[in-house]
Amino acid sequence: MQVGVNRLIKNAFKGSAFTIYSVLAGLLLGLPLFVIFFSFFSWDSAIWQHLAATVLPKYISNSLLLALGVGLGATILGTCLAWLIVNYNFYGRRLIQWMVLLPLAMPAYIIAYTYTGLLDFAGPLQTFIRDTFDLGAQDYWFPEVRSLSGAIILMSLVLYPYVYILARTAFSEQSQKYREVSELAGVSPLKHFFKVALPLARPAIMTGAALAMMEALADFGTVEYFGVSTFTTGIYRTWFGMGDIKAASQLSGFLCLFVFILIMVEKMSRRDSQNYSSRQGKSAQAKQVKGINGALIFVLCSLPVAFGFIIPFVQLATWAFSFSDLSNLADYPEYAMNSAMLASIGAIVVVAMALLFSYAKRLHPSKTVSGFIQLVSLGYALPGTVIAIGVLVPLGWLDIKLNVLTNVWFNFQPGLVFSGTVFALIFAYAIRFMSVALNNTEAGIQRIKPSMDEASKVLGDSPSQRLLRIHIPLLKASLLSATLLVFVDILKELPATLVLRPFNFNTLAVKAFELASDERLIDAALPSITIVLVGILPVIILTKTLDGIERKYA
Amino acid sequence: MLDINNLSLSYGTQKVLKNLTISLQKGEIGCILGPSGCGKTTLLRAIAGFKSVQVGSISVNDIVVSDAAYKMPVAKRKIGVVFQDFALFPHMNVLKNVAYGLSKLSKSEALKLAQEAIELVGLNDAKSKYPHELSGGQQQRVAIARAIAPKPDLLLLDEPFSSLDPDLRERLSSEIRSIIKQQNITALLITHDQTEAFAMADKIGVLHHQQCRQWGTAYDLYHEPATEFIADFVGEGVFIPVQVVAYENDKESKIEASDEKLLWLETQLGRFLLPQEYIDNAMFKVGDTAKMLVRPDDLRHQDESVLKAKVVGRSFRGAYILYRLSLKEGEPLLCLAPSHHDHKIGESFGIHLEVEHVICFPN
Repeated sequence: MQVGVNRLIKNAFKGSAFTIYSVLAGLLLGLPLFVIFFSFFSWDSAIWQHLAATVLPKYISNSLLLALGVGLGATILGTCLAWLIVNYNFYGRRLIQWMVLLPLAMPAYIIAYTYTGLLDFAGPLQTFIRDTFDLGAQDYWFPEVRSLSGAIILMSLVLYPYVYILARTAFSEQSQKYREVSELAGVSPLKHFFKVALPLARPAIMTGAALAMMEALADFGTVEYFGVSTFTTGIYRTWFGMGDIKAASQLSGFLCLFVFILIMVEKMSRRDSQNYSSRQGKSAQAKQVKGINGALIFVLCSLPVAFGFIIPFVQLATWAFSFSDLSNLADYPEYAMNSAMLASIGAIVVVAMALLFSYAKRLHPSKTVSGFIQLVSLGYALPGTVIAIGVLVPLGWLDIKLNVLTNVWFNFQPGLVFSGTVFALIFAYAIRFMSVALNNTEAGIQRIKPSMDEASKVLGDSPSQRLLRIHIPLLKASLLSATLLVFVDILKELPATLVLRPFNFNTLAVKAFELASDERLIDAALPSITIVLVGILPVIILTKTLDGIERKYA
Repeated sequence: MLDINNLSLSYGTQKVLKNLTISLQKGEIGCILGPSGCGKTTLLRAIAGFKSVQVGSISVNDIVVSDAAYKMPVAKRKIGVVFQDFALFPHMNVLKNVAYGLSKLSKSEALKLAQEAIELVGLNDAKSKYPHELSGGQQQRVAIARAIAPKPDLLLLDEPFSSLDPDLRERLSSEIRSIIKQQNITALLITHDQTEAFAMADKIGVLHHQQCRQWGTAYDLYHEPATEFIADFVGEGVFIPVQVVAYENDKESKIEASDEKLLWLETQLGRFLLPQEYIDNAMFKVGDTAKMLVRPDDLRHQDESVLKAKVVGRSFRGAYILYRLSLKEGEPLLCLAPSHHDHKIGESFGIHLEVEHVICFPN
């Protein structure tokens, strides 16, 4: 241990200021992870006995069912879509290719309450059924939206793009020759799909499914609104309802066990998919399908996007622009501004930190720096509620100590300067969204030729001058798209914001969730549709990137 | 000016360069020539300061910049580098690229020096263009201008013409040479292309098996190669088998039999006297077999010669034709004949070997 620490310090100071930065920033961002991790080891049997006797079995079964159900649903939807779109050329394919990703712009909690409004007893559909068939309230059976299965279906509808994106790339990389081999052997297309195409794409599909399951485990808004007790709602209630931070962090640690299994699945599948990718030869050619069959495929492919985006979007738009009254427009600018401010600051901080991490790695590609980069990229897998608790514990401790200190020295108490301010929020966002930014900065910086650095070095630049004069200008596009992605992610983020926001500080997401929870669905539509509309921007970027990848292998 | 003394370089445990000693005077252009992967890029990176040195030292202007214990920071060395891929900054125009290394000077001074350098390479009209708008040759000029604008003590060029087409390569290399000479810059170039080395360099070193066996002029390398590899690598030529025999007075030779130690080299193409330095080194004794280097220009086309050879291949080179000729036995020979001696494949003509420097290696 001592040797390890010594080596760490020695390595850190052998490198430049950037290496030191990445160690310190890595430790800072890693802190909440350690807090959760170690709280799990400071096992409190009294808490666990109580939890096990009351809520824990429900949490475990609901969370697992939710994750598995969403994983399965997203896999079926995403894989089928990807297969049809890669292999068949039908009328409207380009439109579908673009639209299929739109559900990414729809946060699960927003689709949840939109469908609740549409499908519950007083909603338009049930009213229509009753009116048409002249039925009473007890005369017919209608599935309950606000249930575990409802949550699974709705989340699958917005999370299938995770599987779709990876499966589509995997399918389109499969060589045309494989299909020709099957045709020569007289194997039917369906059999070819199950015998060849699907097994080859399996690692990619698994990666996507793992990501969708992480999102499902992380979800708070949907399950809370539907009254389904899972770990995230449990953590939230333990902290907000009972103020029991210790139990909340122990629950968080337990949830992390599931998350780590998913991370392992994801990492292993990613590694496998590299072995499975067959980039030699011409990629699969789409088969032309005309007439009825073409139209059928078009309709089939448009179903997920219709239910996952178009129907809820139209409903939200109707509510927002036709029904909402002007009185609640008064607060709208305030929380829109709060959201914009929070997302801007957060995006700039996160992207700047990611850039420095990537640059430190480029300057001194040591194991230390790479290790910390991997550590801080773990946040994407952690639920917002867990990160919030992880942030709250050390910052709360810091605030208490600070207040004691200033009280002794200056007879003055500054209050919760860390845990009760925007600082805590930005801290949590930095952990949750660092990997989004890092993906962009890492890919961007790898595209800059090493000779650029050497040229700048022989011409007398210091590392920081080089960053300002060469890397930042050349990375402009990557930095911009990273900023946009993080901006939108923060705008949509609900659970961490809900837990960590300063008193009386509302954002679009928080307001949408609160109004919906108060059954004011129509009032919630305006903030919701704002989030969805802004969320379409990164979908456009993603579509362009995907097309670029596909053209490369065409 | 540049002194490299007993330098050894390695990557991890793998040695890439052993005991290299070369030096350049102020204003001289040196060249390290070698096949790809022979460690020449590593040498360049060590001189520039990107790589540390295990054994030996590198000095510029009599100041040690690298040895086993010390490595002067890259930026302090006052060395300019022209990179193989030019490494022009794509987001800056020509002027900004060239002025890049001048940021420590005042704005007006930097602008003046950059202008000078741009003028020197003849790119005045392209000053505000971006790298992607320039042709390969123009990009090369910008790279040179950027490297020489800060007035470096030493200019390093890494395969500077490898990405250009052959025609442009020749024109540009002589032009760049005259710029470097005119500015009295000391330069070291590395390349695998000998025509480039011959066109540019005053002194050339050939790297082989991690070692530099000869450091000399192009003439020395071609006519007096120190090793078999250099003889083979530089220029064209073949080795013919020779037999070392004792000297005996014969009528044709005008040498008196006063010296007992003289030796003949007996070949298919006649007898040649073994040069004195071989005898001094006692490299050969009577009865040895050896091989002798025959350059295409050593073998003359001579109609009256009794020695006839059959044409087995020919390549037309304008003023000359390079013939591949076969004798009764042994490897084909190369003969560079003026192109009015036009022979078809299968024909025979008389040849005569006239060697100014006899180069011989033991078998």
